[in-house]
Amino acid sequence: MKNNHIHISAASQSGTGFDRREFIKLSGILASGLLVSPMAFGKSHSYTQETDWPLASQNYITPVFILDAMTRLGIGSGFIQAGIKHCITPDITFIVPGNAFRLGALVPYGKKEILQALDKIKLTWGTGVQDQKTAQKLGLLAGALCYQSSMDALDKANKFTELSPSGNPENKIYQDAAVIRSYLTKGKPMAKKEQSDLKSLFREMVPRTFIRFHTVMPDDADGAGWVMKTAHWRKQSDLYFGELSRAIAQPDDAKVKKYLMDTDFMDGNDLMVKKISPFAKISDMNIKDARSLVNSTEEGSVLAKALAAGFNTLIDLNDFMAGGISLDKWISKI
Amino acid sequence: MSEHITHVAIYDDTVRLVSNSKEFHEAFNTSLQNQFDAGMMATGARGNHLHAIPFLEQTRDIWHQRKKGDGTEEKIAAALAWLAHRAIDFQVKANQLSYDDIKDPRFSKDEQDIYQDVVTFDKVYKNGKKKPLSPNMYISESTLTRNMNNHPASGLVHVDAVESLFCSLIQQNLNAYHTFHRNSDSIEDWLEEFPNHYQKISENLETYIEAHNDPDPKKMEKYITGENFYNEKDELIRLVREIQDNGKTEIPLDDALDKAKNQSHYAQGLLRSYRFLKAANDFFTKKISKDAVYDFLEIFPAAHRI
Repeated sequence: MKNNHIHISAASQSGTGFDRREFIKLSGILASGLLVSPMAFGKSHSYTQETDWPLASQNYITPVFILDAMTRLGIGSGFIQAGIKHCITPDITFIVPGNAFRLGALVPYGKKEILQALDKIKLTWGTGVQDQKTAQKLGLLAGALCYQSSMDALDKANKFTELSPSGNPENKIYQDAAVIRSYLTKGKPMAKKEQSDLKSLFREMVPRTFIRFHTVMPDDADGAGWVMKTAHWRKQSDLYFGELSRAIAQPDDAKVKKYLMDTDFMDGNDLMVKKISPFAKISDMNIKDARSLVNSTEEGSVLAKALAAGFNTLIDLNDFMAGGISLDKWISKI
Repeated sequence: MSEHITHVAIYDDTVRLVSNSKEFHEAFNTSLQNQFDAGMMATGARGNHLHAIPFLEQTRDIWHQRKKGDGTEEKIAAALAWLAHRAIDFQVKANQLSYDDIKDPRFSKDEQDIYQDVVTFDKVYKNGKKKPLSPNMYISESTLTRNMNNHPASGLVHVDAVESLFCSLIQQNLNAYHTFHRNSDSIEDWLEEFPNHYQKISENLETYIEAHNDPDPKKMEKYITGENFYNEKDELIRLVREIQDNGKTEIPLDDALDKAKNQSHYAQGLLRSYRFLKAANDFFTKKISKDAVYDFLEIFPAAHRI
């Protein structure tokens, strides 16, 4: 097996402060939940626990929400190149390169390697080679950079070790609930029945998503390992939807204080937090206002800083692709 | 090719046939019963040509020595589900409209796939009122509605926005398990390999919703009725629906299988699935060779006869 460590190196290389021990602990608990020896599955014998259950297999919607906000900030910025806007704009009804943008968490490399890969794309991109494959690569790399930058900030609020029964870190479930409750609920009171209804709603989104997939892509390099892990993923996700629904509809006050308030996770007074509401119009923002928006978060909440870090990275990416900043200079900034 | 709902349905119905037949090794029923969800993922996935027979070969000699959770039952369930998927794909693909068949741009062979899936949802799952066999697959009468607008929680959250995020997260979660992430030598290699593992979003759910809630009668005739895609009077279909509804049936299986040869495509697909599993059973019990089972399943390329 090559590069055994590589999957989690993305976070550690990027200087996110990612706690490797926490991840290994999570990995162990998830793997033990299977009651299975890794020896049992074809090529799986070469697995280590940490690579069996990579970070990107966690149910954690907040980083996806942040990437969605990056799309809206990017489209709404007059100075961002049209080609980059295309690469960061998803559409869940169709096959477009921008659907890869939200998968940035999958890229198993740190910022330096990503910037070097971008430098190669830039050589041809500027001459007009902007085909689907190249655009998808750019979308992935842009998503990875924004993800890693925002995670650097988010991880300031991710110092907890408590795991929920689904195996996901409990504090992240509270973050997800805070994001959904603040931005995407409809203001109705929620109690036990609504909690149950929400759980049902979230669970029913899974077959709808599978319909959109047409067919799921297995890992042909290790079909047996894939079968086991994805069967487990169904149960893990099922539990997560219940945990998320509870944290939205009937959150535990002590956990709200511990995971959200004491960490200063989110503050509705932050300009950035208000600006990226899915119902806010962002249009024709100039570079000065964009920089000002980023700088407004210096004293802001963790979420505001995470959004700013992601947007700042997108601004740098735009600058780099336009020739405004060299590779060496950008690498020296990260 | 058939689509997700039909893949799940053919797996559910195949499991009903296996559970109602004495022709299969006990390993098949036990595995499907204990590890249904391992098959649930496989039936919705590509890869049937690569994994089904190797899984059966790896498990047939160790069946009686298996331990809970050692993967033996999971592999068998997945192999059988993949063969069910292959069977219905063969049936539907061979009989779907071609561009030459279409003289009116109203029709599309891609849309035909979706109409067929919607009919399966109606006929097998009674528009969501009947649940699939998997306890972890949640469908309802909201499944094929716009923004799940008849679900009791649709008034609590902005469904479109939440679902878009979940859709991307599920893509990410499933792709995270692919081993190429840690086996690439460089980011350049990884970027080149990614498209081979990319979980595309390729179907527009809005087309499903339209076909389900407001079907075009001309399309129903062209895609479904005229093609005899599904006929609830077919004995084999009645047989599995009776098991679904009552847990038992008096319809003789052999007779239903025999009649299915000339009946609807769904019935023929289910018959083919049964035959594929019978061949798999004969391979599992060493009555036929590996070459023979590959030939029967029409897996011919040498690279796929693993």
